[in-house]
Amino acid sequence: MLFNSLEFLVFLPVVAVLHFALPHRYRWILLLVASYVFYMAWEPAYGLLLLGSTALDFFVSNALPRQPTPERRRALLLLSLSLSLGLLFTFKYYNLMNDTLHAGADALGMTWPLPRSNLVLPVGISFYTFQTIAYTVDVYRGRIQPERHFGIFALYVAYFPQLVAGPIERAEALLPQLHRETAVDWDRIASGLRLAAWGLFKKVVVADRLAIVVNQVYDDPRGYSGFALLLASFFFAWQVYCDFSGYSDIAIGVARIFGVDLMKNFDQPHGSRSFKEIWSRWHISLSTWFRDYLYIPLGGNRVGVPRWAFNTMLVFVISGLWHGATWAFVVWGFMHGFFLVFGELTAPARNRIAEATGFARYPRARLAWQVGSTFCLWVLTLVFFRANSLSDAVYICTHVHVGWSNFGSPVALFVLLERLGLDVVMFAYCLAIIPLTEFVDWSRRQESMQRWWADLSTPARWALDQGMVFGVIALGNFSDVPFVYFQF
Amino acid sequence: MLRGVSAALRFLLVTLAVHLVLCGAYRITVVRSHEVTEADRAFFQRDRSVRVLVAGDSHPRMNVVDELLPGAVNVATRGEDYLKNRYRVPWLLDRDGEGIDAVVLGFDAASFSDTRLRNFRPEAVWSRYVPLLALGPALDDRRGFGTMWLKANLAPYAGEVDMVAQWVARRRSFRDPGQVGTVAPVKFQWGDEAAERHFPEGSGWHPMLERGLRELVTELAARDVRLVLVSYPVTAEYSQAVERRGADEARRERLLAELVAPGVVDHLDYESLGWGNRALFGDADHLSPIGAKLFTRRLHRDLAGLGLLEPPPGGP
Repeated sequence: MLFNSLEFLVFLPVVAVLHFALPHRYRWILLLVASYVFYMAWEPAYGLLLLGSTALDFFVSNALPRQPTPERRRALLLLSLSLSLGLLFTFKYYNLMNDTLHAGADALGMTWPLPRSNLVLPVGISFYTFQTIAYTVDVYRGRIQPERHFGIFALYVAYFPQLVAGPIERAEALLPQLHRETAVDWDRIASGLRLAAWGLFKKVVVADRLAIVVNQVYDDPRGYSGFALLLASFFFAWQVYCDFSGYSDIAIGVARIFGVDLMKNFDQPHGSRSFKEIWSRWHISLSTWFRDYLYIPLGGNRVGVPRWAFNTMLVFVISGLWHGATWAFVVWGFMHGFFLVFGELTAPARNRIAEATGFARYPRARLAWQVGSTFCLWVLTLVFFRANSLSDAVYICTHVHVGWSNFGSPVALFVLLERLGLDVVMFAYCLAIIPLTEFVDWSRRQESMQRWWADLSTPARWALDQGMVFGVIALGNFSDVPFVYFQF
Repeated sequence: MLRGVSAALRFLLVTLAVHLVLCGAYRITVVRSHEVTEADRAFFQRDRSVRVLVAGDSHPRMNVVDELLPGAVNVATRGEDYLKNRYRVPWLLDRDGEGIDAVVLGFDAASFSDTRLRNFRPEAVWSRYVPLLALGPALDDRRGFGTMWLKANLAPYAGEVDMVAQWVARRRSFRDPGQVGTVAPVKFQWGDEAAERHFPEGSGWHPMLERGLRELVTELAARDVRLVLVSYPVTAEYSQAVERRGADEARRERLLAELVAPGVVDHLDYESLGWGNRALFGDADHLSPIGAKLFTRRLHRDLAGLGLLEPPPGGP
């Protein structure tokens, strides 16, 4: 079930009303059933997969403390990781491996015996697999006690607001909240609804509108000039941000209605001055997952520079693969690792150059340069994220300079906009909603704006709330466009 | 608790009031001045001596010069298909009394392409004619058509920002015929490129479009209204390209043979009329302004020959 569907518009109030009508001891049953209904709306059979994954981690985590020796504990952990990652491999990575080996065998003139898999990738499998892995590893490390209540644990894995696209929650944060009794809190409900409405605005008004242009160009990049390729690539930066941060805002807002606080997943990443900063502000729940369960176990920053650089690259390549089972995502991850390592290693030299040239005396100009250059490199990496194939991505990167001779001609711009499914009014509208989104997300981080909001009179607050509600209804694109991160 | 419920109810009431205002505003702006609505209005306000109705898609819209076809009223709009025709034409006839003797409708290679289905935007306009809830099961898309019905009746302005933008810019259809000439040299499509638009990979003949035409033929026969099917001129390259892409000429011929009954259902075939003379065409399947004038004179003569219009002045 999509957050931006009519079904969810009915589902959410029904579940919320029933939740608060029921005594606390029965609420987990309602939420668990609701979560499975939500998930199985895509494909009922994959509910069994989710249940199987849940049962595996529940029994392993409960067996871990009872093991007499560290070796037995490690073996049990490895078994759990192998099964969880094996499931992920089977559904997500088998075809990538098979196609690669097939191509290699062809090149060597050999025949490759294994067929392609026709399995459909279960929605959200990467998210819930990482969540259960984090839980089992935390139990193994002794950071948390295993959950004894199977129903609550199943709810932790399947909790519908964050099941299919995160945030990837840690057990120590979410499990206690699922046990806690919550009363009706109108302020929390209003604040949750407001945040969910804002997330929906970002999704259906901004992301899905920009997606029309992006999809036109990226589905046929060879049919467009450099200006269109550049425009679509920059639009995609905001599309994917508004799509994914919109999803996260809806998830956090919906969970807040039920009295649960989910972790922040985005913090205005487009304002980052470096790739290191981007990854502390973009998909925070995933980057902290990789930090805690891969980067630090590999040695973190306690190792020499070459090893640190290698570890960082490795983590980002795996992060690329987590996103999608194509070589384009591997390149995307590699680019992120490279830009981060390069940025960190050259930071002292760049600071010295800024001092020597006097650029450091203009902190605002330097900040603008850093944010602008980081953003442009980010857009460059996103070409590999969005392109339908590696060859398309390379084509786009190498043809951005083509066809600019007509730039500035109103007729040429009009023709291009027509081909992109826009007219001048809609183009201006697309350009206007981007800064609006950035401004609102910026203002949400400012204490002064939060105080301003708290001091607003009820009619003024209602007027703004109504503006958002009707902004979603009137300006949204309701063609059931799935969230970008659902494919992962 | 009660204070919270009361505040929530008050908020919902205000929301409902604003919603009703927006619904009304959408209807008196976009719906009222939409190309289809305006064509309907012109149809009802016509001189009662006009007894031929021209309906269909962009072919009659762009190829027929209304001023050169006295005695006929043209209500065609771009993107209109047999499903829309099947419901809109009887809707017009029902409200017109017995003022129409004949309907002129397109019969082209692209008329049965399934790419034409499911475009019922703006729903508030098309739901006046088309029973969306009944079409859902027939097209195996209950959810999609149910959503369209809900939107048409409960929130017609939902997701309509582009329609509102078109209304603001005085462009009242989903594309603006008046603007096409501006960019013609660059965007015109010939042959295979245009054929791909109508018959992309995986598309083909849709039985619901055939059913729509058949039901319309039956409806008109029951009303004693003649039907003239017109195959509009297209370029030779386009004609060959659509057949390669699966337009299925043989099936069209069989259907035509089944439907045509002189004096009840007639067929005028102009498909190859302009072959070899590209100056007559604006693009692969639409005539240029000069071509449209020449074609309309020819159509006038032929409709007169069928006894539906007065002969044009200055010749048979």
